[in-house]
Amino acid sequence: MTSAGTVEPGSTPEGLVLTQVSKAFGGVTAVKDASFSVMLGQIHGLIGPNGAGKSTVIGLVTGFLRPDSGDIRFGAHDLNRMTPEAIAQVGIARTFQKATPLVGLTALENILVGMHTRYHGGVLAALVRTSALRREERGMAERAQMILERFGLADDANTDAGDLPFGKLRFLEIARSMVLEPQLLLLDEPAAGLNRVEAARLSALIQGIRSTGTGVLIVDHDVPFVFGVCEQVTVMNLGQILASDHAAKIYENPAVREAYLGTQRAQTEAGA
Amino acid sequence: MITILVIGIAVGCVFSLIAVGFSIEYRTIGVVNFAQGSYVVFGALCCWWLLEKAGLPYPLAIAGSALITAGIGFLLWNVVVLPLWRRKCPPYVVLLCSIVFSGIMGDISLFLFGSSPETVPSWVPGLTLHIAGSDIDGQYAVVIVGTLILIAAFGSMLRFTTFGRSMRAVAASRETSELLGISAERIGAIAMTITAFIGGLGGTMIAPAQYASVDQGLTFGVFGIIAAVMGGFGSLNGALLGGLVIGVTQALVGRYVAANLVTVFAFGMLLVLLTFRPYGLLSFKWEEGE
Repeated sequence: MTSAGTVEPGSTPEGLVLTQVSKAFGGVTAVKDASFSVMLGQIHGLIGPNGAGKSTVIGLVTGFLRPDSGDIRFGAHDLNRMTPEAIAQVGIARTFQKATPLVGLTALENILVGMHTRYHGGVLAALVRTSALRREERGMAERAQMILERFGLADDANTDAGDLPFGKLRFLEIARSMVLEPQLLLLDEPAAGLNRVEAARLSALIQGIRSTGTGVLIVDHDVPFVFGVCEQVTVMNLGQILASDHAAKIYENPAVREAYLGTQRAQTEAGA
Repeated sequence: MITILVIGIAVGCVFSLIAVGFSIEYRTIGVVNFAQGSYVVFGALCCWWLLEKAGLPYPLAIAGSALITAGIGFLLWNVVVLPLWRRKCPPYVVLLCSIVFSGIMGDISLFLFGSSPETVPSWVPGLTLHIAGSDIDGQYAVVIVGTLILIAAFGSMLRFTTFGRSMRAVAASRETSELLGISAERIGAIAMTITAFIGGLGGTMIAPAQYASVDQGLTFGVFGIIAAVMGGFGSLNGALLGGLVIGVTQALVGRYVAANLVTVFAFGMLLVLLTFRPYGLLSFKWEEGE
């Protein structure tokens, strides 16, 4: 066990810090002694072959899973015992591999839904619709429209989210998570299924998000995409962290290359 | 014949209100709550009691009855449904508990209000409608207009207000909504309170036109759920349409065929309809996909 407050060298206290985190399902170890940190205002990639433990890490960080041992901290917050809702409230937003649009609501409404809790004025006000509330709602609608524009969805504002094509849904998903003004954004395989043009636009958007001081953690096995956009990369294999360093250094790291590619080859040969 | 039709439409309106309750609760919190029918009967009898026994002025008795019924909905949510919901109990457990709760409500109503059928004065005393040579109690018009207003008001709230949007969001996906900071539990509490309020108010509207007695709760519930399924379980217009179809059928069968066969006909119609339109008359699109 590691004592709380042990921070990896080079990390800032306000970022996401995992220290010696382990998680097993039944007897199978999914993540073992994982330590790495994600700084705010940085784009961090987490890569590894299928089954490396990436999804488990996301689950642990967002509170959907509880670590068996180790510490997960975000700034002053101890995430180990926090619920997913509480973790969202302290500034960690996430998107899912599979898009989860609110079907039956328009794209604009999908954005607005996340806003209302920041400005809510009570049920009675909502039913009576005071003028202050209406003014507030107009302001929210304008802000939501701006977010849609930023993500190239301005023309789809009044389209039912269920009718949007795949690529646009992915952007809507990220746009919606930005409403919460997160300090850290977790993107679970954001490039999967996107065409080249969409992937390029996604990279630009992620860089835009970073430039406002938000940290971004991209979990993906699309190696070219990750190295194209990330400054810092962590490599996982078989539940363990192989390396966590600047993207350029990781790319040069012969041990990582061999292990990572070797694992892939082994997997292919095993038919998995 | 006209009288029978108008009565059928008015009673159908009450079924519609119950169907709206079923649909809203099912869509937002995924719960089939069988107490809907009991809300109507309780609302009617409570109004009678407040008026005749407690001596309140009529408007206060109406408002008080609707609010007390709303309180029962809130109680049902907090005491019965929420604890089951938090533990992610399967829907049939909640359904069974709501049936039991409905029975308890009936027994308490029996204790409070007695077993004899009761009625209250018309909201529009002296008003009689003359349609095609038939004289019809003006209260039936109150029921029909009141139902349309209630459903329209609820529909606009769903569509245009922030709270309505949150409700649709929870209906589309509870998990996603919670991640966006919406408290699904709060939405559930409000949904169940509002549906109970609508049911109670429906009861006060129908009470002057028809006698209300405790044993009708189950019947109202059954016809209400048939109306909801017929309408598409979730669409407000569908609930209205389903209620009207059932109400008119019930009135016509009761008058021209046999009063004992009303349920048989209503249920038979439902089965035939579901054969051709498995998703009801107006199927609903809030949550295709996931």
